[in-house]
Order: sequence, then C-alpha cells, then structure tokens
Amino acid sequence: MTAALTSTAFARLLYCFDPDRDRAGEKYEDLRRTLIKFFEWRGTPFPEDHTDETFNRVARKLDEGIEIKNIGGYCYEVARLVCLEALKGNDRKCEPLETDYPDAAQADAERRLEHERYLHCLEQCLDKLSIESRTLVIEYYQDDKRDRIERRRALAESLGLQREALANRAQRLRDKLELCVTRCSNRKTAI
Amino acid sequence: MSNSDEMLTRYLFGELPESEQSQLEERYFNDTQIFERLVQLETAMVDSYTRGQLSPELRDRFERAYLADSNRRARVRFSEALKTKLDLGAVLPVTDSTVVRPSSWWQRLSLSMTGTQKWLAFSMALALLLVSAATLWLWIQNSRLRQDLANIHSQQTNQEQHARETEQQLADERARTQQLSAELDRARTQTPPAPTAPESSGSTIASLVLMVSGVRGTGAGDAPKLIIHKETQQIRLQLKLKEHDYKGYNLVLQAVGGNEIYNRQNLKARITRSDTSLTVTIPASKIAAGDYLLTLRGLTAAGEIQDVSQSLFHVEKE
Repeated sequence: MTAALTSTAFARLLYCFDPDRDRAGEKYEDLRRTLIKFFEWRGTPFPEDHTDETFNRVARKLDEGIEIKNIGGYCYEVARLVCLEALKGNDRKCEPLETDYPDAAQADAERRLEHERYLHCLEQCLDKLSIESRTLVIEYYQDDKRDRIERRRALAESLGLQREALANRAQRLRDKLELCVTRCSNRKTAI
Repeated sequence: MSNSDEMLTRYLFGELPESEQSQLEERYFNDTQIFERLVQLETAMVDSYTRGQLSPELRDRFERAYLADSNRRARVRFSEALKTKLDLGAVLPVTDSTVVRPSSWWQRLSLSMTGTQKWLAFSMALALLLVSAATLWLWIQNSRLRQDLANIHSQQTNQEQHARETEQQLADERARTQQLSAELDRARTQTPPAPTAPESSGSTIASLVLMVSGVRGTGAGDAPKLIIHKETQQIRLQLKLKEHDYKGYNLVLQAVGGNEIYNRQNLKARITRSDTSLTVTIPASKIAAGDYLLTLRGLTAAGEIQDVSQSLFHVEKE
C-alpha cells in the first residue's frame, strides 16, 4: 500500500535533488517520468503506484538519516526491489479470471468501441493543450514519411530549437497527451 | 537500425539478459539522453506498428513481446487514435519563425481542423447556415400569413357585427318613426290633445310635447292644447328635434300678440338613442289661458344664431 508523503518528507526529498526548489522540482519530475517508464518496460501492472512507492521508500531512508549522493542511482536500486515485489505479487494474482473468451466478431466489435472511446478522449485531451502545444504535437507526428525530416527541421527552426530538443519537447507533450487519454478511457470504461 | 538501436529494441521487447538490462537501466537513470532516445525509439516503433510499417520479423517480435503487457497495448491504442486523428487531414506546416498564436476563436477552430476535415467542416457550416436561413424565412412568412388571416377574419367578424347592429338600429328607427308619426297624427286629430295634457287632475306638473315643425309654419291643423288645473304648479315643455345641427339653442315663449313670458339661452339638447329633445320647465303661474308661440333658435359653431322652429299651442285653465 502506498502512503502519501508528508510535506516535510517531500521537502527533504526535493532538497536531495537540488538545493534550489525550482530546479529540484524539475529534476524530481524528470526522475518520476523515468521511473514510470522503467516500471512500464519492466511490465509491472501499476507503474505510477510503484513509482510513488519508490519515492516513499527513498524518503523514509532520508528520514532515517541516510545520506544519498546519487539520487537517480539510489532510486533505481529501490525501484528494482519494488519491481521484483510487484512482479512476484502479480504472478500470484495472475489466476485466469475469464474462462469464456470472446469470439472474433465480439472482439472486433469491442475493439471498434475502444477505438471510438480513445478518439473521443483524444479530442478532449487535445482541447486541454495550449494551441501551441497542440499544433506542435500534430505537426511533429504527421506521418508524411517523405517530408517528415524536412518538416521537423522547419518546425525546429521556427521554434528556435535544436532537433533533439524539439524531439524531447514533442515526446513530453505526447506522453502528457497519452496519459490524459488513457485516464479518460479508463474512466469511461469504469462507468 | 544501428547496433545501439538494436540493443534498445531488445530491451523494449524484454529480450536482453538481466545483466545487460540492468546496465542499460543504470545508464538511462543517470543519462537523460539515453532515456529520451529509448522513449523516442519506443514511440517510433509503436507508430510504425500502427501504420503497418514494421518488417515482418520486427512485427512478430513486437506482437509477441511488447503487446503482452496491458499498459503497452494501451499505448498502441493511443497511437491508433492519434493516427486516425492525423490522417483526417494534414496540418498547416509551421514555416514562420514563431509558432502561430491565434487569438480569435475562429482562428483556434480553424487551426484545430485540417485539410479535408476543414473543407468538410466549412461545407457543413455553409449548408447549415443556408438551411437555417431558409427555415427562418419560411417561419417568418408563415407567421405573416397567419397574422394576415387572423386580421381578415377579425375584420369580417367586425363587419358582420357592425352590419347586424346597423340593421337593428335601422329597424329601431323605423319603429320609432312609425310610433312618433302615429302619436303626431293622434295629437293633431284629438281635441284636446291627449298626449300633452296632464292625465291626472291631481298632478302638479303639466306636460306638452311639441314636434319641431320648422320656421315657416306652426303646424298644420289645430294647435296642441295644454290644460292647466288648479293644482298644476309647473309646466314642462318638450320639443322633439328632427335634426340636431347646433351646439346650443335659445327658447322664447310669448303669448300670441303679447309679451315674452320666458326666455332661455344656450340650452343643450338631450340626445338619446331614440330621439333628440329640449325640455324646459316654467312655473304655471306665469301662464294664463290663451294662445302661445314657442320660438326655437339655434347657435351655430361659428356663433351665428339661426331660427329653427316656431310652435303654436293653446292653453286652457280649469
């Protein structure tokens, strides 16, 4: 069970990233993103919960007075343990829940419904983005293969960014959009 | 695909041995560039899979390894939705040195749509506008026609009502005229004139009704007779007017060949639905037996006084 961090513990954790609170916040967000991806790639069922659990454990260690020099590396070690525990727990829970598997037609219908749901959520989530962010995401991920490189180059130039920086910005926006869409779809499924 | 990319791909598919996997993880936890590269490679691979651009071998590995996890399947669903959204139309290329920052809602709407979608949206909007305008025009026309119809119906009803009332008034007038003619005939033929004399000897008021006959004559036949009893204190003279053309009347009563007995200025006619008349009351003590001439003059709107009629009547005292 993941317990919420107290404000004192969180402040201590942030300080560990950087004495400057703003920079610490940015680094915390970066590491949080890395942890979520790590848990996803490792195939744990609830990457965000496991990420919170990792930070909680690191904060408790700080409470105990342990000095952490490399917060990224330390978090990774803790995350590996959390991952192992999660995968073990997941294995135990992996009993077959359904014995009646849907036939192909039913699966196809469900797939179409799911696609509609995702599209609807995508529209909603795109609306939540600023016009600049929305334009950037749509422009960057256009599939026009022949023009893709040229378009991205022009886009980077228009924004005054290096290609790599543009790729990172587009990816972050996409991640944000994907998170919004996934949560929206899960809410609709729950309803 | 470079060797490095191949290793990253194997990591994403869970194909690396544990030791290599841990090494790579340690690296990307400490090097954001490697992490970003890994994330972007995953995105590119998911998009390629969604668009059917993966090689058969890579596609097979992708489906076997990557899609085994529900979170990753959700990522593919998202990619499919984004592909559908992007395929609906091409976005305007950003060629300016700054990102376009639309200010109006129309610009924002326009930017959120692209290519075919925009064309379709404008077509639909135009069609909707035309249909709305046509509907509004028809509705206004219909309302006008209904209003006109109601007005016509109302006018017809009013006209019918007016015609009925006019007919009724005409019938009443005819009946009254006949009644008055009959009374007049009776008054002329009777001696003494029954309608003018007080019916009861005990009455304190004697009445005489005179029909206005014009200035040229005092009436054909015998003059009406007014009988004044001992008890009579007041005499009421009533003149019925055929026409009412004056704003006021002057009435003068004088004994034939004698003095003026009564003079009343600026009398107002009493107008009822059945007739128009002037009525004055004179003390009986002023009237002696004999013949009397009642002269009526009219006051025009211009202030001129014109003779209207002269009526002769006879008074007897008992």
